[in-house]
Amino acid sequence: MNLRYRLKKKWCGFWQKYRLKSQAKNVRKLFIFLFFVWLLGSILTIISQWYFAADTHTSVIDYIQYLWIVIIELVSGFDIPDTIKLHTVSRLISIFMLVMGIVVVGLFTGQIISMFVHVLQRSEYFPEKPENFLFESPIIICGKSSKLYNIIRNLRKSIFSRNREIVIVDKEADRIKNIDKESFYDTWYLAGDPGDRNVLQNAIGKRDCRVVILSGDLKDNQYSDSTAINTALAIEAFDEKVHTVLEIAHHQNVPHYASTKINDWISVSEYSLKLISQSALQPGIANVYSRLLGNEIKNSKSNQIYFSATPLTEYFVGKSYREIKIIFCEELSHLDITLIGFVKYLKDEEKKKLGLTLRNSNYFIQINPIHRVNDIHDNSEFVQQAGKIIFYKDTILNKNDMLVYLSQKEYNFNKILKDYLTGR
Amino acid sequence: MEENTARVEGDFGIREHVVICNWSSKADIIVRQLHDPSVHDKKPIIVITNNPENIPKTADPAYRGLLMISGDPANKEILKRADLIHAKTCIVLADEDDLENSDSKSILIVLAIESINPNVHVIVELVKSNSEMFFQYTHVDEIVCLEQLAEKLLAQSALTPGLSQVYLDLLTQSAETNEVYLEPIPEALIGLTYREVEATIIKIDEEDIILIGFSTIVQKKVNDKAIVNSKGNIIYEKKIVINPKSSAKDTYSKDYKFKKGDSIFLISYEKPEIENYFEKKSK
Repeated sequence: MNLRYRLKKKWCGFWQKYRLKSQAKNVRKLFIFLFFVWLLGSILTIISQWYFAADTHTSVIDYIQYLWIVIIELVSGFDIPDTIKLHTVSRLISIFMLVMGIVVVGLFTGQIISMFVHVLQRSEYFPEKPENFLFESPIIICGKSSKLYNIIRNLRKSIFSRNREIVIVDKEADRIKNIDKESFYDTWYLAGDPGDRNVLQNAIGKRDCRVVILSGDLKDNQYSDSTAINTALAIEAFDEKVHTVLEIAHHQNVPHYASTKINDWISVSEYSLKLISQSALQPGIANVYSRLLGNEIKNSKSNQIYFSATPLTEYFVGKSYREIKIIFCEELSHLDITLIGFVKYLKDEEKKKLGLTLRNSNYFIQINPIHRVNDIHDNSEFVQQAGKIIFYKDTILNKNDMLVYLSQKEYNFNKILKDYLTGR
Repeated sequence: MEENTARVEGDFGIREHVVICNWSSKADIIVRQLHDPSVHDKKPIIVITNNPENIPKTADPAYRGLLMISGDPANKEILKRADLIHAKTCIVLADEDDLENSDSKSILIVLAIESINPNVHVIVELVKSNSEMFFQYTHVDEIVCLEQLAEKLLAQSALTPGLSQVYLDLLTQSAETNEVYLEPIPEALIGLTYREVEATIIKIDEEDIILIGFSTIVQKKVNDKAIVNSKGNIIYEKKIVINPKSSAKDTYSKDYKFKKGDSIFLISYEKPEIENYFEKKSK
């Protein structure tokens, strides 16, 4: 993220924090009011002096001084000097101008105080997302639920989101308190309906935007998912490049989403029950998943599943998964990595040919590719078993493919292999 | 009081079974997973619920061997009727009808289970993450917290697109998807380091397995001091290591030498026959 972007974000954030846009609008109205009062007061004074005290003036230019006198009365409250002889009517106009001056100064002071009071009152809440500034690659969280704070905490723990802004979008987002300012840095709110195009236009970033859509809490009825699905559909219709992750509270609703363009949906009850079943079949497995999902055990960092960045490091391009696995085991064993699979990029025509529905993605994830047991002359890279495609260990990886690995941190394979190859 | 008169005999007289406390519409997933054709050693299931009418009456093969007891799962007499004393695993599901108080009810059920059979493997489904600390005072083996799971899965999936599918693949019990298995270390691999075992497993073409970690039994320590129970016996706990580090400074690194009683975590499509493989190979 460059300095110019950061400075602009700071400035726009400051502008939004003090609501300078609306303040400036109010101040502008105040100045217009002041101008008209001044103009009216000056004209009335000039007319009154010309009509009632014309003998005290030698030329037309003498009347011009009343423009200056009225503005002084309005903004400072000073009375006119004794050297200027005013008629009683003009004095009455002056009194009116002095009162108007008190009103104008009062309004102006009130405006500034309200600005600071607003900032003080909002100090324990998240800052408002600047209206006129689009974030580069934000993570947007739509909806409000008891999980919100921990989701932000989990996002902030990851190095992937260190430079990403987090924007909470909800009708009541302005009422969400920032309870942990240290962890919840660079987190903003945007009050509005996340299904509204205008709100989305402001929230969605310039590129690589991720959206997490929260469903209602589990105790809510089964229709709590419907708001979340509406939001997801609105986002997909607005910009289908945005990666949407939808939480589904009630697993019965899962089949409804299969034909939508939503990228990822997570039916928590389905995951939890499958995890419980796995633990019943294999005691201790829940602890393994708990570690994989980021639960730190006794101050030691947990392992997570990572995908390597694209394009795939040149050293691996053209090699089979089997060869790469051996490289990790022998040549790169100093890295704390366990390779568990790969992600194969499939063109649209390949997807169609294979009859794959990949949740609107061109990436096929293959965990634990299998050994080819059939004819060695068969050059296909996969086999179809019970309608599912499973890639072989001998699948050659290309530059658009990714590796799936277990590790405590994300690795930059380009750099690691460059260092390794130069040191060899 | 004589033991025989006090004891309530189980209704079914079965052993090594799975007891599910509370039934909800979601429990269907558990039954299907536990009785999936890919599971070699299918266990009978006894469901204890206050609402037995919710259990589907179906001829589905997955429901074969599903038995039911009507009653409150927190009632010890009801638990005894489910042969809990001989059960292998007990699953305590969140009460769907009262999610607000579900975690409190689960604690009562767990305490009742422990008083009957402290050795049964207990898995509890929690709704709220802040209830987890109360279960530290019980001997629950595994806790699956819905809220925590959702928070972590949503956060990780937002950062790594497609990750939810990896987890779904690993968690779904079927012949076409992978699962994580815990297998005892084969005799032939005892004495080898993790690094050597990993290299050996990579070369096995007959089994599609990936080694991801291991578990070993260690003395339970608090502030680096071994703790003992009220009778002065040493307390042991299971140490789980996933993706061990390469650094030799760490006791449980890739240079850890396997000993008898250790187990390894494997990703596989079906229960790995690794012991048989090495036995056959040695012959």
